[in-house]
Amino acid sequence: MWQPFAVISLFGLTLALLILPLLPAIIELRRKTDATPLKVVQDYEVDIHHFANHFRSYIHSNLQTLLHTCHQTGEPHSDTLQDGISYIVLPDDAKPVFSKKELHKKITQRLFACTGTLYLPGDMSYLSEIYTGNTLHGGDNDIYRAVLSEKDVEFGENSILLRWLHAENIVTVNNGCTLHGRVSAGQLIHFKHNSKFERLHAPAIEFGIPQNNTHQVTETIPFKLEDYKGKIYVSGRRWLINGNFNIPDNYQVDADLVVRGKLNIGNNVVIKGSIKSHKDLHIGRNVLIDGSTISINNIYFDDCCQANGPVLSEKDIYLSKSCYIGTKNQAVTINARHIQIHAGSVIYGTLWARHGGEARIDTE
Amino acid sequence: MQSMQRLLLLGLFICTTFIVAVPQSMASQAAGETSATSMTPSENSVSFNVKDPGEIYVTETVLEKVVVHSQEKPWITDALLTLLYTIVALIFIYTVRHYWFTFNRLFGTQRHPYIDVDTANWPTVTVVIPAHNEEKVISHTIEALLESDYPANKFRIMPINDRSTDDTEAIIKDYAQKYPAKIRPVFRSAGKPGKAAALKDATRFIETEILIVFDADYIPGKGLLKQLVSPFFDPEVGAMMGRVVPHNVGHNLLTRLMDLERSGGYQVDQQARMNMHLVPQYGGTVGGVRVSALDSVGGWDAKTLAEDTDLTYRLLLAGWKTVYQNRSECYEEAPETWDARLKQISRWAKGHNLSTARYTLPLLFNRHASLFEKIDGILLLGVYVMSPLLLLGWITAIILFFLGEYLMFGVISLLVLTSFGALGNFAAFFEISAAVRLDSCRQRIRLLPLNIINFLLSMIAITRATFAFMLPGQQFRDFWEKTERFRRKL
Repeated sequence: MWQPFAVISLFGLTLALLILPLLPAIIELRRKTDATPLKVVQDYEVDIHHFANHFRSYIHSNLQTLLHTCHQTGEPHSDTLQDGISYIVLPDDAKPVFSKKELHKKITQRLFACTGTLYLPGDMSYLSEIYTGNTLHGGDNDIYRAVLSEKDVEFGENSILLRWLHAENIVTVNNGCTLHGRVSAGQLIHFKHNSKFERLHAPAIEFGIPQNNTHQVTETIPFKLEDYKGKIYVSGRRWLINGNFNIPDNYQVDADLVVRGKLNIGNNVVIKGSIKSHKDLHIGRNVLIDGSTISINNIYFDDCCQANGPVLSEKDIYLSKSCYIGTKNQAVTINARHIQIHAGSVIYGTLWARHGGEARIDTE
Repeated sequence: MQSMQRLLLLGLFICTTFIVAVPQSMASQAAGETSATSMTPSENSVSFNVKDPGEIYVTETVLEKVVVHSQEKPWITDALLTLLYTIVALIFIYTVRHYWFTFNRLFGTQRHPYIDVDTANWPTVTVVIPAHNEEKVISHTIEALLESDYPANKFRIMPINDRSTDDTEAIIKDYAQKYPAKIRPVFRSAGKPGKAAALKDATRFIETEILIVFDADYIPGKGLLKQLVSPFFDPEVGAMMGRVVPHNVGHNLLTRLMDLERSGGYQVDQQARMNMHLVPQYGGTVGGVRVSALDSVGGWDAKTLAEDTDLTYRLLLAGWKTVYQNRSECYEEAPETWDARLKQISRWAKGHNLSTARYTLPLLFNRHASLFEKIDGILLLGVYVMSPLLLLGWITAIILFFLGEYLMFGVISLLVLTSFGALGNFAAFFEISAAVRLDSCRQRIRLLPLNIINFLLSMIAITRATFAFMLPGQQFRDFWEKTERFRRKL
C-alpha cells in the first residue's frame, strides 16, 4: 500500500530538487524584470561641450525672462526654482550678494546667473553652477562647481574647478589652479603659470607664452631601407620592426613606423607618416611627425617638436619646451594617463590627461 | 603585468602536467590494488606484515599475477584513458583561460587607448552593408548611418545587394536616388554568392582608407563611426571590432540567453584579450578594416563562411593587430528561433574550423606574433573543436565505466565534475556572471542556469557542423548563409 506513495514521493522530491535551483530563473523568465536591452547611447558624441550646452538650455528655459528683467531694472533677484534649486540673478557688472550664513561659511549653494561681467570675491566655494552673459573674473582661492560664460573666464590664483567650465572666447588660468573635469573655450585656453588639469578643448591651448623657436625646417637625409635588411618588414607604407630601433639625427622617414620595442628618434628628424612604439618613445629636438604618434608606454618629446596627428600614450606624455601638437588648421587629440607640458608649448584641439595633467611653466 | 602572465602560464603548465600525469599513475595504482585485494589466498601463500592473517594475503604468485594483470589491461582501455585525460586537460586549459579573462576584466587594468580621440583629421571611410533579402531591416541601418556625426565629406555608404529576391534592391535604389553623393550602392547578380564574396567584389570599388562593415540588421548610433575609425590612427592596427548588443532581448528565452552569451563574449572575452595584448577577434560587423592592410594580406577570402576569423588570422600572421573597443556599442537583432540560432552557430563553426585547419600551424611558427598571441590565437582557433571533443569525452567516460575503470579520484574528480556537469566548465558561467555585473544588470543573472540549454544545443549543432566540415565538398557553399530576420519592415 505504501509502495506507490513512496515511489510518488521519491519522484516528487527528485523533481523538486531538480526544479528548485531553476526557480529564480523560471520566475525571472516569466516576470521579465530585467529584459530590456542594454543601454547603448545612440546619440553619443565625444562632445566636450555636452554639459555646457545642457546648462545653457536649462538657463534659457528657466531664467531667461528673469535675466532680461534684471538687466533692465538693475536689481538682483533671488528665489528657488521648481526643481528646488536656489538661484540669484544679478544685474550687469554687479558684485554678487551673499547671505550672512554664506559669508560666514564661505560657501554658497545658490546658482549664480548674470547677463554682464561678473566679479567674484576670493576664498569662496560656489557649489552650484555659475552663468554669465559676459566675462567672469574669479577671485583667488575660489572653488567652482561649474561655469558657463558667453565670453571669457579668468580664474584667480589657486582656484579649483570641480566639474566643468566653458567660455565662448578665452579661458585664462592663473598660478596654482586645479581644473578637474572638462574645460573648453571657443578660442583659447591660456595657462599663465603652473596649474593642473584633466580634459581641455579649444582651438588653441597655450602653456605660458608661445615661443617663436618652434620646429625649424632642416635638411634631411632619406632613410635607406637597404641598410636594415632582415630587420624591417615592409608592407605597403608600413615598416614593422620586432625590437628596439633608433633613427639617427637628420634623417627623413617616408613611412608609417611600427616598433615593437623602444624607439629613439634623433634630433631634426622628419617622419612623413605615423609612428608607434610598444616600449618608451623618445623624440629628439626639432622633430616633425606628420601623422599620429602612439605608444603603449611613455612618450617623451624634446624641445621644439611638432606633431601634426593625434598623440596617444597608454602611460604618460612629457612635452618639453615649445612643442606644438596639431596645427591652427588641424585640431588633434593628445591623450595619456598623465601629461606634463612645459612652457611655450601649444596644443590645437583636445588634451585629455585621464589621471591628471600638469602645466610646468614657472620651473624653467 | 607580463611577469604575472608568465607566472600564470607556468602555473597552467604545471597543473596540466599534474592533471595528465598524476591520474595516470593513480589509475595504474588503483587498478593494481583492486586486483590484489580481490585475490583469494592459496595454499602456498607466504604472508607478511599481517595483523589479521585472515584479512589480506600477498603471495609471490599473486604479485606475479598483479603485475601480469596490470600489463594485461586491454590496450583499448589505456588508449581511452589517455584520450579522456587529454580531453579533460584541454577543458582545464580552457577553464583557466576563462577564469583568467574574467579576473582580468574584474580586477585588471583596462585598455581603451583610442576611444577618447575626438578631434583629428579623420580618414576617409566607406561603410559597407552586405545585404541579401534584408527588406525588413536595411532601411534602419541606412537611416541611422545618415545621421552619423562623421565629417560628411569623408564617408560614403555602400549597400551591397546580392541577388535579393525581396524589396531590398528597390529600397537601396530609393536611398541612392535621394542621397546620390553619400550612397554608392553595388548590385550583384553574378559571381559567387555570400557575404565574403560580396565584400570582395565591393572592395574593388572602395577608394577610401578605411572600410567599416555593418550587417544589415545593425543600428549604429550617431557617434559610432568616429569611435570605430579612431583605432586606425594607430599604424599597427589592421582591423577593429566594436561591441554587439542585442536589442530584442525580451522576446523569448532564446533572445535572453543570447543576450547573456553576447555579454560574456564581448564584455569579458574580447575586452580581456584587448587588455592583455592577445588576439581580439574581428567579428565581421560593427568593425572595420584598414584597406591597405586588407590589400597586403590578399583581400577578402570568398571561399570561407567566416571571413571575419579568416581575416583576423591573416592580419595577425602579417604583423597587423586587431583591436577591440568595448564602448563602441551597436544594437543587433538576435535570432528569435532555435532553428535560426542553430543554423547561425553551425555556419560559424564551419567557417571557424576552416580557419583552424588553415592557420594553427602557420601561427605557431609565425615570427611577428608574440608567445602569448600564439597561445591565445591557437586556443581561440580551437573553441569550436572543443564541442565534439567534449562529446567524445562523455562517450569515452561511459565506455571506460563499463570497462571497469574508476575515474573519480584525486584532482581529476573535480575536473570530471566540471567538465561533464557543466558542459565544459563552470568558468563560462562565471564569465557571463561577471559580464552581467559589469553591465550593471543584476536581475538577468538569474537566467544563468538555463544557459545550459543553449550550451547543450549549440554543442550538438557545432559537433554536427564539425563533422559536416570534414566531409569533402562541405567546406564551401554556393549560396547565402545568413541569419533569419524577425524585425518588421518599415
